[in-house]
Amino acid sequence: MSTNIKIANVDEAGLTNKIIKDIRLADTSSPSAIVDVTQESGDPHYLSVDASACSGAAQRWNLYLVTAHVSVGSTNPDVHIKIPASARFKMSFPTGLPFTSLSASLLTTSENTATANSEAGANRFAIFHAVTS
Amino acid sequence: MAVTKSNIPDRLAQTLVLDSSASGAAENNVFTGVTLADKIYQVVIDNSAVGAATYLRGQYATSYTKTGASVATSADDIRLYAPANQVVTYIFPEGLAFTTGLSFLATSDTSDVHTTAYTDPGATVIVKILGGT
Repeated sequence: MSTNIKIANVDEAGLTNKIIKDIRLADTSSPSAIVDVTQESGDPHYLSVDASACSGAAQRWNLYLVTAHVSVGSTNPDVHIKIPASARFKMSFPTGLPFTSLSASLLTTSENTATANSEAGANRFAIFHAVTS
Repeated sequence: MAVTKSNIPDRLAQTLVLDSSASGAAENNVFTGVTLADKIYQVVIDNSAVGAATYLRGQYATSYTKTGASVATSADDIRLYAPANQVVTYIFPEGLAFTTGLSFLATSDTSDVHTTAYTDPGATVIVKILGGT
C-alpha cells in the first residue's frame, strides 16, 4: 500500500468509522490505485477528491465497490466521475452505498482500459478523503 | 420510458429530471444543453425492483454515444452504481459541473466497448436527477 495513504480506524473508540486520506492518489511512483483500503465491507458516509492542484486536465475518479481484486485498466469501475481541472469534489450518501471492498483510482482519460494520469506525471497530485463505517 | 421535467424555485437547484423507467436506451440532452442546469446536485436511483446491480451511465454531451468494438472514444463521464434491490442517493453538495449537456441510460453493463444496445435492467428502475446552474 502507498506510503501516502493514512487510515485512522476509530473502531476501538466505540465508533465504527474509518477515516482514510491519500495525499497522492494517482502518484505514478506508487500503485495507481488504493485497493481494498478498509479491508472489510462497509458503507461510505463521505468521499472527496481535492484536485485543485491538477490544473492541466480533468480528473477521472474511479471507485471499485464489489471486488477486492482491482487492477486499474482491467477492472471496470462501479462509480466513475469526471471532475473538472482545478476543482474540488465531494459526495455523500444519506441512504448508504454498501460496498464489499473499497478501492479508488484517479486517471485522466475515461475509458475502462485507462491507466495513466498525466497530472501525476507533472507532479500535480490530488488528495482523496473518505469516511466509512 | 417516460421522462418528466419540473421547474422548482430558483436559488435551489432549478430542474428535476425524473425518468420513471430508465433503460438501456439513452435519454439525451435532458437539461437542454446547459440551459436548464450545468451542475448536478443529487441523483437518486431506485433499483429496489431489480435483483441485480444497475449502473446509471452518463456522458456530458447532447447524445449518448456508444463506442465501437475496438475503441472507447466516448466513454462515460459519470457512472453511478446502485446495488441490487436498493435505493441509493448520491449528494453532490457543491455540485458536479458538466459542459455541453447530459445524456444518460441505465443498464446492468459496465463495458464501454459497445456496438449493440445496452442491456436493460431486469425490472423498472426510477432515476431522479436534480440539477441547477
